Amino acid sequence: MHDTTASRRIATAAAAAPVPVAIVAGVPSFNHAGTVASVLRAAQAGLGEFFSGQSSLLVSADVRSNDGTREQVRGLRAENPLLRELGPADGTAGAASPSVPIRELRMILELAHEVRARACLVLDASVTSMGADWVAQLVRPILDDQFDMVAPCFARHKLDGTISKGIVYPLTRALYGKRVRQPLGSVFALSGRLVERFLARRVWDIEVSALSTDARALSEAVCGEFAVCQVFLGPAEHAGTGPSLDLSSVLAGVLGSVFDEMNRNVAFWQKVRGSEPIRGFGTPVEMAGNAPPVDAHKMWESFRLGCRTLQEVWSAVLPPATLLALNYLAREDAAGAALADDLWARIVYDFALGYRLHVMNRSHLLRALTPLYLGWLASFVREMGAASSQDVERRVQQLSLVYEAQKPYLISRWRWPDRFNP
Amino acid sequence: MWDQIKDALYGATHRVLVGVASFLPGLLALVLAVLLSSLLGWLLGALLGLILRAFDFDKRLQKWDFVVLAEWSPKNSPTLLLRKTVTWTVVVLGWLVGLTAFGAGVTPQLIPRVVESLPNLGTAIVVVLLGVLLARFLARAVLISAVNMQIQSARLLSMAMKWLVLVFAAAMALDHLRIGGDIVRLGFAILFGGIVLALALAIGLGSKEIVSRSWERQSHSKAEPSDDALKHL
Repeated sequence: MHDTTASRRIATAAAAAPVPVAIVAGVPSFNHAGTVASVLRAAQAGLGEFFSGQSSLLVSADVRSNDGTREQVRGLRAENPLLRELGPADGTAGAASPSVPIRELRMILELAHEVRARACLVLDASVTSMGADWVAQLVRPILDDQFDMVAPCFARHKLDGTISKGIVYPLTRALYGKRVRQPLGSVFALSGRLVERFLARRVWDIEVSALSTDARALSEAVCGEFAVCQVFLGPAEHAGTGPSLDLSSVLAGVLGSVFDEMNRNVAFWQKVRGSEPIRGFGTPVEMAGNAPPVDAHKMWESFRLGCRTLQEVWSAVLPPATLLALNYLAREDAAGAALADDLWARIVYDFALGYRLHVMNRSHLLRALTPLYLGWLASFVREMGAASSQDVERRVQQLSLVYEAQKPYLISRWRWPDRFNP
Repeated sequence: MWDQIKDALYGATHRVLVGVASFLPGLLALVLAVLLSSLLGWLLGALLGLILRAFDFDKRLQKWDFVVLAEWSPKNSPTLLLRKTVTWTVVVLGWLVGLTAFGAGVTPQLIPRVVESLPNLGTAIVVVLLGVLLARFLARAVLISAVNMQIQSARLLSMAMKWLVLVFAAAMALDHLRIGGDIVRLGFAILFGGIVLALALAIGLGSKEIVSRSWERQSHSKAEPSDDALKHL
């Protein structure tokens, strides 16, 4: 539960607004002093330029920044008196929850619900490349086409976002049956009725990794049979805030939340077969410039090291046939070997099951996936290093089909983990 | 003369019979106590086994990451281990009761000593069990982190961590039981110091290459391909 000062501020902000408000644009932030002002300015410009005839609220939600983010926002209020600020009183910031955007996000949703907003836009305070047109592109499908959730699809280099390409997109597509290309998009827009559902189901009262709030929003929307679409935006450049996380922490954070969603929505995804495309607005943007060179050999060596040393850990999760296949692969050198799609899909499914069954400490389990992910990544990079962006996209779609084809394996193991252990 | 021999024989027989008569009830009590305690132990064990199986105890324990108990159990079943522990505890108690009834000279001192040392023994067992749990947890954490950091000797590091914690737990348990006294402390200090020194040497010598490689990387081309260039998210 958030503190009473925050509740008072939500009530004050709501009271000052003309109800109902068409659009609430919220920016949850935590130590984003360098970028929060530009995101708020872009949002303000977008609201003014594209929705000048409609009532709107621009909100900054910040519970515990200590790098001057809130001072930046207050400075901006001098330029824009319509900007609302949600957060605790000074001096209470340090006691907040460690999950960065959750409390702030919930405050924005509560405000949107309070003012009966038709659309609630949630923006990422770390983005440095946001244009005013993003507001229009994200909000219009809700106001004009009655969609309930709009997910972004940013332009990216062909080898960027490999956790999404190799795990999160194919997995969520196979589970929930909707082809939302970037489930970890970091910005999204919601309809008023979806906001109401989120608050009624207390979706944000459950802890979730800061890296995957959007994945939770998406799974909730799809499982609630809400209409979801995606918009093609330009590139999203992010400014780092604080020390960057190592790969295994990122994997653990993202997959922990995705697997938690799997556990929460079992009844839904076990009934889903195949997948269907969702409506896309705009045109996919091609990323300019070449992708940075990547050393696949080093990744493969990490995979081989994992195969040599993590057998005991993996044997608690993976069935014997998979372990055998991995051992066979690890004997080959980087140039010739590749982790087959079906093997990779089954490995991800086995880890999801291991997470559900709690076969070991969950953080250990998720971190133990890192060498396997690097093995898959090495195979992917070697195959796609010289390919065009379109070819990479086709390859990701092909991998996703394999995830869908292997879904009966997941369901069998999920239902009978002891009996079905090939 | 014959009367004296007869008296002596009668006296000896009488003493032996009196001795046997005083010995037999104790012996019978001992046998009875052991038989009854065995029966009771078996019954309690069977009852406990039934209850634990009804609760799916083995699987629950695995779910709670308490695999160490399974590893140390016969047939990997903590239920069986607890069942046997209960049975044998009751049997041992039966023996103690029987020995007390038997009235052997050693028992009056033995039983208070056994009872006195029970809390310490329990604490020591708990210390060792916690040590084993912690050792396994830390060893796995070190192993996974070291592999993710691409340290070739990950298994060695993990094993060193495991034994460090195990030795520490064993020394604490022995110290608690007052076994070995200063020798245990001294032995532990030498062993612990040795392990730390060995680790320091291993890491120091290993780091030499890592540091030189890092310098080499910095002085050579900065555009060297690496997986760090990728945006995984």
